[in-house]
Amino acid sequence: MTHFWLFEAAAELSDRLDFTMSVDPFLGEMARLRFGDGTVCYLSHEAYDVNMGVSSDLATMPALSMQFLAQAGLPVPAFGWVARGPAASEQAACLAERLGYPVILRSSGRQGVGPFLATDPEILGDLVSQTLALAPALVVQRPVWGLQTSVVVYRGEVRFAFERHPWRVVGDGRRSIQQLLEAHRAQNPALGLMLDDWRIDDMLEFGRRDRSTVPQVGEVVPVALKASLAHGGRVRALPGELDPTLASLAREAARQSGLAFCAIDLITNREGTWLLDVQPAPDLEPYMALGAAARRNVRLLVERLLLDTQASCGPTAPIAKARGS
Amino acid sequence: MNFLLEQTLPIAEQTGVSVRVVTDPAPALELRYGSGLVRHLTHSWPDINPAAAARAAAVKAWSLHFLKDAGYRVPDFACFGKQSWAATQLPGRDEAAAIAFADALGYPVVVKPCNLSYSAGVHLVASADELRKILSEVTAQDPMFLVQRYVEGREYRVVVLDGQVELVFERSPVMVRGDGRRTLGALLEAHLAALRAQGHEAEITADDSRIASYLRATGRSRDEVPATGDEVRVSLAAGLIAGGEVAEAEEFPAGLQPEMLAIAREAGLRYAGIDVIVNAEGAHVIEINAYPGNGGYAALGPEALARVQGLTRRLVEAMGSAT
Repeated sequence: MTHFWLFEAAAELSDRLDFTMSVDPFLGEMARLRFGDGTVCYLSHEAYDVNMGVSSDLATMPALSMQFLAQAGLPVPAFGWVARGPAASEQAACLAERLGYPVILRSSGRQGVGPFLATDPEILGDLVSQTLALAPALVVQRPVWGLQTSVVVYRGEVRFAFERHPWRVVGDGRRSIQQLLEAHRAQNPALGLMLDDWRIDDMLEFGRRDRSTVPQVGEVVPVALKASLAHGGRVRALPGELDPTLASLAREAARQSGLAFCAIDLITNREGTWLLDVQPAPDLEPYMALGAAARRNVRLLVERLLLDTQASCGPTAPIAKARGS
Repeated sequence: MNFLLEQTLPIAEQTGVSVRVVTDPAPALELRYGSGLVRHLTHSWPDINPAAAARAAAVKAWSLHFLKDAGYRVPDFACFGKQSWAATQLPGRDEAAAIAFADALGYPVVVKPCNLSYSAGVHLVASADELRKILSEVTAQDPMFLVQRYVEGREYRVVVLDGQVELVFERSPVMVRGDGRRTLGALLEAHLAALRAQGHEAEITADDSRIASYLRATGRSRDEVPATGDEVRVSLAAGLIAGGEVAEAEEFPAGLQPEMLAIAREAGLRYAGIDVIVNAEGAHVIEINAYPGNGGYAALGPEALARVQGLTRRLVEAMGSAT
């Protein structure tokens, strides 16, 4: 995952904010910014200098971060955790039995795969090894279904928010789910999820459907768990102002996570609102695609982030540079 | 619970910082300051460095590139990748390109995985054939690696916090002393066993490939019998996990301290452990750590422990100052 939008947004500001930007020549994922006053800071799609490194990393480890958030009284879905090891599958199965199937498996670590939906013990066993292939631990979580909202918080203020919708097809009473998937694919060539991906079958099975099912006219059929664009998800503008309850919850989640900047992913249904995820380096490109106002919001945010980073990092003192060896 | 977390708990309580502890699946602390600020500690990592700068330091290719680009003395290096990975991530920079670069640089060369720590996968390599073999091992652990010019000298770690040099200690790789009777292999096994008996963190074993490659690169053999009193270096890396040891740095040139502070600033880090090799040319930066562990130094004795406790106190205070 690369966030070219971030470097593009920063580059557009370089003259006005008086900095030069140098991107690493190896992967093109880390940039050094040198301001006119000598201040040096770094910029990457994985981490922002306005956040502290450990809090930022911790947010990518839900096996730890969700415990702290739960201790702080924030509404996180019921969960447990399992560390990589010979007993991991057995421990995950015990947790799933306690929570009740289906459960969601999430990697806990910077590198990971998923999340996955496990509808029975057999599927869970397969998914545990996949989930722990790159991550040192995983989270087993009770799924919550509802409307997903991402709230972007910076220094205690909500900057903007948007809805995130996992991929779903809408029946027309004529075509099968497979045909609806193929039609979606034809219109969305950037779709990363393969049409024969087993995760689609798991989602359909959970809804007691299969690919040959013909949904009725207007019937909404969820086919993916993740709301990312690569998985067929979509971002939508909020229909109105952000609910103050959600705004308050997002601000508190950011504060408790020790993060100046983050996106807080919330999910709301008739029973309430839950905290799904804290993203210390959110991908805002899908939001920017909503239009000029969204692009302006992001540009203003990046400008604020860079100015505050410059202020916090302070000027670099004159350096007696050594000769290169 | 590791050294830093154990040190931090009582200091946080003494300074009025409230603490939440999580112990599983890994130990972590949450510090809650009177101002409302929340900070975290995991592993031996204090929450004091800006996140992107800390990430840049974690990938050797990034940190060394930016420091070299800024004019600091960094041994010449280039970054490469495992063929299958390089095809998409670093086109034209696969193992064959790494060997061509090493040939041009001149052997021996140093090979380092870009994303690993604790000296994992760090080798001194004497020839193209040897490099080919080592790369198959290194790329199994990390697809991205550096080939770097070998620089000789004394190795130091300089620990910096908010513009002050806090600690300087010398780091030594595994050394054995000959007795005119035992082979190098036997001396090494006895040395590592003695280290572990003393509670040293060494995880390296006598048959580790890093030791084998170092001995080949320096024309040594495990079967040779060093003369009585001969000090023989048997590995490149000086990290504790790799069997290295630390000592007070009595001969670190004080004149280098301003340069160390400037390096930390250039790296964007408030807290840093800068690993340098010092020789007649000056200080060559070989690595910069955003989260240096100081437990090995603290074990030197009561004075060293007191210095580390003082540093931990300042870290707890510094974490509470918003940036």
